[in-house]
Parts: sequence; structure tokens; C-alpha cells
Amino acid sequence: MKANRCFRAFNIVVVALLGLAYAAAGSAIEYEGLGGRPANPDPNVPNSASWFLYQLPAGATKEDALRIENGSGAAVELIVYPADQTPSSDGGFALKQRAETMTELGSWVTLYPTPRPVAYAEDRRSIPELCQFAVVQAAQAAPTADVSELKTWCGGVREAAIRLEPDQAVAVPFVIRIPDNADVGEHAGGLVLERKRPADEPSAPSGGVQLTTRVGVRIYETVPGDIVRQLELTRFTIHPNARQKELVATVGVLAAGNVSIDHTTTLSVSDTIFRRSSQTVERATQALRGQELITNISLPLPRFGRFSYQAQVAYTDTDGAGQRLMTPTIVRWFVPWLQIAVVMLVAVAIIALWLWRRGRDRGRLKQWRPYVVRPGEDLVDIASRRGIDWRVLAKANGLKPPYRLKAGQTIKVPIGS
Amino acid sequence: MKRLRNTKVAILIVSLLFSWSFPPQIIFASSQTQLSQTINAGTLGVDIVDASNVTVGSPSVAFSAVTFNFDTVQNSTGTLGASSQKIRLSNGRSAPAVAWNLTVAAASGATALWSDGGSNTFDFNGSSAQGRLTVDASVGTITPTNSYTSTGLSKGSSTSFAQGTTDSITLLSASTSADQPGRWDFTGVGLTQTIPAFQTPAAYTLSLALTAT
Repeated sequence: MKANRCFRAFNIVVVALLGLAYAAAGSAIEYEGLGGRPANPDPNVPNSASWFLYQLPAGATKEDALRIENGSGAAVELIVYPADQTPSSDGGFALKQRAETMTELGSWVTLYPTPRPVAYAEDRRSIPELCQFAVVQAAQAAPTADVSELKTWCGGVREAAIRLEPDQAVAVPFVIRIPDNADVGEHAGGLVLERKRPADEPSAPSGGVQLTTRVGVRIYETVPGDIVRQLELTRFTIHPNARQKELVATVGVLAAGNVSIDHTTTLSVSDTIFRRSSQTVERATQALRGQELITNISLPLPRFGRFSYQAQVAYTDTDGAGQRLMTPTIVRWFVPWLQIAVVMLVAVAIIALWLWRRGRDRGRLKQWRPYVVRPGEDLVDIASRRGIDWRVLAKANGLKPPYRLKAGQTIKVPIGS
Repeated sequence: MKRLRNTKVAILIVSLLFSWSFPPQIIFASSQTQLSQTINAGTLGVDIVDASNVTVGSPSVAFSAVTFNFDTVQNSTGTLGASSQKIRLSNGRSAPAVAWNLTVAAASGATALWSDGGSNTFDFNGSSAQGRLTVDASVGTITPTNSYTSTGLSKGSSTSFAQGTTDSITLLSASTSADQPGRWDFTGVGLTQTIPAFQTPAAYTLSLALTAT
């Protein structure tokens, strides 16, 4: 009986644990925050899960979609719009602002945030195909109301206002149309998600800067043709940062061809006194088409020593061959001048004090008079009668321990004391 | 018989204790069921959070006040990314790691102006005498959250806005060697605005947008 009961308990525990295991198998964890990514990444194209990567010829059209996720735990209102790429101060990737006029890739993208017209809701054709159909039908003598509605919808929008509830995700379809006169090479831009600031927000009565945040999902479109991949070194400097707390190695490269170039910058630091490599730092970054990219690598500021710095930039050229660009070697001494100056100052002060005291003591001796020690007198008696420390007396007379005086011995004592 | 039954009970008790003593993965290692969890790929995001890591509704940066001056250009300073308004960059994207860039620019573009809401304005991207805003990200502090590191991150240089030349300034950039996923707080970015001489006293406002791409 007891054994049966145990079997039953064992079964209950096993079933409970199995249940827990099955429940866990279906759960999912989302990362926090608001963001977007391509809705249809191609597993065969690296980075297509993070960026839109196209190789469409001039005149081509493609439909895709942006997946927007709100993992922030609060409802979010945002504006979605396409924007041109613009270089940031260090040559990095940035996107134009909503208020600016888009003249490049940002103007090639049209959003379709609303569903297709009801009459075409089940139509399997892509947006470009359906809209081509609308154009053809509308050109006929008497287009139907459905066609007119479709033609209007096909115009799409330049920007879309979207509200996302917590943990909600939506896909916003869009179409990218490459102009017939688009030049060969890479064109970059992005789809921007911009948070709407609360409408009832005070307009900063005390002045200052108001901040908004945006997230951009990059779009890279490379028009096929004569692609040139060329990277040039433009600068290499070593300098402490403004607060003198870090050393900054600055490496500049220029993507001189017609595409962006992914490259790896390796900075090697060697201690030339002890003849050893002290540090190697690697940065894999992207220089944008026609832009100089500045990479700042922060290093700890050495306290003392002689160090050499050299950077190597590796990339793949037009022919697919690996290329390496080497910077000149920069050698720097690091000497803690301030600390050394303080130590020197203290040492000079100590020596000066010592010299002054020695001079003072000698001066005092010159003003002293001889005194013959009487029987029974010791150093303490003589010093106390003259109101001075016996140690001063001993030092002035060059007496050593145990400081015994003999009757008749002549020592010097201060005049007038 | 009784000894046999006791032995069976002992084996059962030992089995139960064994099953409780080890993690569930080990319990099911030899069965047909495997524990699994799906961690969906996240996205890149930027936010302004307070010291309690709550999103700040209307983030702003206060600048030091200056007194009207007829002749001299003065400097007013502020800090982007104070401890109560940290810039938080979250990258929850799936492998392979891709680079990202955090930049700051005027929300209205290169034609933006400091404005008191009325007719008084001055530049943020003009000459020093007209009004120029300098952003020094190199003095900022990167604080990785959780167990992430700041490997592969680069702070931007000290740069001034210049119309048509520098409309966007890099605060932080990540190479592919940066943690992915990863999350970092960026604080202490120095802002210095030159105030033109003879500028009408008022409270001036400028909108800036932080963009992560």
C-alpha cells in the first residue's frame, strides 16, 4: 500500500514537472523598448535582419515592410517616415530630420500603413503590381469606383502616425522605387520611428534644450554596375581627451569608391622600454560612400613610459582581395610632470629648511659665550637655568649620549640667558 | 517480502529526492521532451530614463544663465545625459552583430534657431559671434548595464554645429565587436553654447533629436 502511494506521488510530481516544461516551451521573451526591423529578412543575406539591403537596378520597384515593436510596457505614439542618410560629425551614419527635404533615398520610399481597399483586400499581387494595374485601369474610359479608390490608395503616404499598445507589433508595408537616373553604387537612407512628444507638454518656459528620440532602420540600396571599393587612410593621431583622463587614438579613413566599406581597424600599442606589446584594440566599422569616417579609440592614459602606437585598417577591395593599410607609428613619452614637479618642490623646500636651520644654529653659536661647568652640574641644570631645551644645548655643543659633563669642561651657552 | 517492499520504497524515495535535487533540464535530458524558450530578437532603441530607469516624458537640458552683455560673446553650458536623464541605448538585435551610431541634431534641421517663442532668436550653428553649440561627447561616461561591457564603443569628438557642414554630431558609435545584445547608459556629454553680444534677455529654447541607427 505504501509503495502504491509513493508511486502515485511520484507520478504526480513527474506530470507536474512535465506540464511546467511544456508551458515553458511555448513562452517567449521580448526585449524592452521601441524599435523597428525588416519584416522579411532573407536568411541568406547577412545583416538583413537588422537593415534593409537591396541591389535593385535603376527603374526597379520593390515592396517590403517595416516591423515596429513596442516592448516598452506603455502605449507609444510615433511618426514613421523615410529619410535620407546624412553624415554625422565623425562620418558615421545619421538620418535627416523630418522637417528637412528628402532628395535621395528618403524620397524613393512610399509608406502604405492603411489596409488595401476592400475590393482588393484578398488580391495576392504585390503593391507595385496592383498599382500598375490601377494605372492601366484608370487610363480606360470610365474607371470604376473601386479602381479610383485603389489609385488613390496607391499614392501611399510620406509619413504615418501610429499608436502602439504595450507589447504590440505592427508591420508597415512600403515600396521603394529606384529612379531611372539613379547612379551606380550605394544609396543609403532609413525608416525613422520618432516618438511624439506629449501634446500638453509645457514649452520649456525656463529655456534650454528639449529632447526627442528617434530610431532609424537603415536602408542600403546598391544600383548594380561598376562598383568601386576603395579605402584611404586620412589621419592618425594620439592625444589625451579634454579632461586628461583618457588617451584617444583617432583613425580616419575615406571610402573613396561608390559604396560603403566595412573594415576593421586594429590599434597596436607597444611599451618600448620593456619591449612588449601592451594592448591591441579592434574596431569593425563602416565608412560611408564618399565620407571620411573618424574612429576614436579610448585608451587608459599611461602614467609613465614610452609607448608606440600603430593602426592597421583591413578591408576587401573591388576585386575581392584583402587589403591592409598601415598608419605611421607614433611614439609618445608619458612623464608625470605635475607629480614630479610637486616632489621636486617638496624636496627643495625640505633642503631649504634644513639649510636655514643649520645656518641659524651656526649663527646662534657665534653669539654664545664659553661657560665652565661647575662640579655637580649636568646638561639639564645648565639648560633649565637659561630657559632653553637641554637638547638644543647638547646639539649646539656637539654632545653625544649619554651627555655627561665633567667639572671644568667648557661649553657654549647663549649670551644673556 | 516485507524487506523487498521496504527496498522498493527506499528506491522510490531516493528517486524522488534525486529528481528534486537536479535542475529540470537534467530530469528531461533523456526523455522526448526538451525545455526550450524562444527569445525573440529585439531592436535597436534609444530612450531618456531617470535614475529609477523610467522613461522621462519630456526630457530637457537646462543651460547656465548668462547676464546681458553689450560687447562680449558669452558661454552658457549644460550637460546632456544628467543622472536624472540618462541616455539609454538598448541593442537587442539578433546575431550577426551590426554597427550602430547615436547622433544628435536639431529636430528642425539645419535652419533651426534658439527661440524665445517670439521674434527673438539666435543661431546654434553659426559663428561664435552668431551663436554656436558645441557638443563634447569625449568627456561623457559610458556605463554598461547588467553584465555588458563597453568594448567596441567609441565616443564622439568635441564638435560644433556648422550649417551645411556639420548638421549631425556623433555621440557614440559601436563597432561589430560591441556586445549584442547590450545596453548602455551615456551621461555627462558637455554642451556649450555661445551667446551673441547684445542678445535680448529671454528664455530661449532649442529642440534636439537623439537618433540611433
